[in-house]
Amino acid sequence: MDVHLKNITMSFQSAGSNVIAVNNFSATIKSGEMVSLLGPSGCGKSTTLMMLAGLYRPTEGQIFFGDTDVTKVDAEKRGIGMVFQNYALYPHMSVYKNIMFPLKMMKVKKPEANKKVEEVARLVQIEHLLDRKPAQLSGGQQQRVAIARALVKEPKLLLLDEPLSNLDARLRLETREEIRRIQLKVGITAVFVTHDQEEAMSISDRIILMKDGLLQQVSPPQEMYRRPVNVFAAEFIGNPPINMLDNLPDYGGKLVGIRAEHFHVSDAGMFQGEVTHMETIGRDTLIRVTGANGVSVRTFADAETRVRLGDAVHLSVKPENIHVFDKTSGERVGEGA
Amino acid sequence: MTERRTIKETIQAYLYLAPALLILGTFSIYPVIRSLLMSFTTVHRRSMEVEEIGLHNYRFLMEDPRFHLALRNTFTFVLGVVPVAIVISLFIAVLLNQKIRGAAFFRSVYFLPFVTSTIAIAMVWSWIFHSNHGILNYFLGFIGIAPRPWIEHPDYAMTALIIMSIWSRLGFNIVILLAGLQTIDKQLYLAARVDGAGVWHRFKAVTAPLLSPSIFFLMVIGVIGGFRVFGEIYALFASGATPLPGPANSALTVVYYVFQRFWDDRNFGLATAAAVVLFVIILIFTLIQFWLGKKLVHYK
Repeated sequence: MDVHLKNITMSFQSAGSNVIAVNNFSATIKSGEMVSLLGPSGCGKSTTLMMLAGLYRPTEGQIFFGDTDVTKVDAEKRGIGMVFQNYALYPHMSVYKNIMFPLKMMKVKKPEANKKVEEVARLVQIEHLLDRKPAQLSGGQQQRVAIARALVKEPKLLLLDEPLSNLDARLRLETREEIRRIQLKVGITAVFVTHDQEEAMSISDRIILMKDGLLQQVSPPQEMYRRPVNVFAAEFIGNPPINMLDNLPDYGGKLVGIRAEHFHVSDAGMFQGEVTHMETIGRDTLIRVTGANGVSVRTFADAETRVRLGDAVHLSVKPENIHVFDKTSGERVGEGA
Repeated sequence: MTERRTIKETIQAYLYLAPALLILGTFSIYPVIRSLLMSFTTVHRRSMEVEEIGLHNYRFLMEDPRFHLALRNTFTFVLGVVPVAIVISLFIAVLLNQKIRGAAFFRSVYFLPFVTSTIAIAMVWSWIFHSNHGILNYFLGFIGIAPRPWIEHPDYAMTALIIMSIWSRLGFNIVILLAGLQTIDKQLYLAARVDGAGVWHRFKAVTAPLLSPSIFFLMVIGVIGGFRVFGEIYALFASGATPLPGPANSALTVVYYVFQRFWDDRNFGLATAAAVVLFVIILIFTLIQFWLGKKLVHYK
């Protein structure tokens, strides 16, 4: 089932003033794909998810599930599955009853419901936890229960609101792989809200990047990384953050973005400076090179080059790896020459 | 924590406890024990000399129709007040917990009965209940119900008492329930909506179970308080020259019985025996409630 958001605007009344959380937002989520809604906090991504869920009603615009206009359909009737940030498991119900609850609301017959609960529990690998109460589970296990509860009614659309933010780093990595595995296995259309670009990059088929309620870029993760459409997209995606350089000789009046890994330490290059900082994390050595005018860039040093702190180095970069942006609009204008 | 206490530490501890123990012992524990002992005696009303020792007071209570009436009335009162007051306050608390204009104002308004003295409440209500120019009969007239002698007739006195008592308990109940409602995670309601639960199912599946500790607390407190009702009756009915617990003893409760036996008859043994019986009844009901609570109440 394709999901279409058409010119969605959501404004809230807050302390007498009108706050526009989502501004004339349009996007399409294709059937069976996993899309991330990515952006900094307050960008409107969670509001968009709430509107998809039917928990908020957009001030303007329409939402379609397939050909059906669901804009005015309440969450209770929309038949979607949702995983909340803090899981929102019913604390007084056992895991079994938690997963059963949506089926109970749908008045599914007991034997059939039991079968479905057991099936979904097997899918998320919590069969052995069904008798426990949520408080007796670890964060990762609660997460799985929340996913099971969202999936048990076999919804057409699965919404995940920052589902990994309450987990520790190691578990986060594991769980995001798990979410992807389940999503691919079930073949469900899924929308995943996150502020973590790495998470979005790793898990999704496509990323919808938002800022201040406005859509910035929609594209597959690698394309967003390789061809950011504006300064914001370039700066938000990637770690370490992209180097943004102003007033380079050949690019007057333009902003130039170059990712750390695209610089190479060489004998001659577009950027000269002194190595002012080095840190080795695992296999990578991150260096900071500061030019004569005080501008500094981050890049990686090859293990062979043996750069040391205080060395004077040249950095070269292939033209196709130079992103050029208009200084006033922030829009991409092309690559380096 | 298994360390042995030294004698010095023990003495120190008792010294710290001494002021509280002294006051509790003098004004609570000693009177309780003396009352219990007194319930097995009959003393002379002036000389206070013990005239009889035994179970005769309890035997008398078993056969005293007035005590039976007092028991019946007390049970009617508890059953009439506690559940209804909780249901009404639950309804109001859930409403007040919504994002409505002036919620803070209404919260204060509903709390007022709790901080108003029983005497003042009873005075206002005796005016409301007045058979000729009471506001209740006036409003009932609008919907075609003939005026009733609310506090003057034995058929209505208990109803009037129950109505007033429900009203005066709402404030406390609502505050406790509101506090309980605030602790419920709002995301659970969103989750329940996504799971397809309408208003009623959200109440049944989220609000009621998560509020059960507060409801249970109100049940226990309400039942204990209900069995001990006295002030409301005294203030509503007995303000005249000859204090009577309602027309034809229609609002005579156990504590009122104790009061009459003690104060009017100066039969201290009988009065304390009735008090002991009441204590046992309250104890049994509280134990039953705790037993039920273990099964029905969800604690975090």
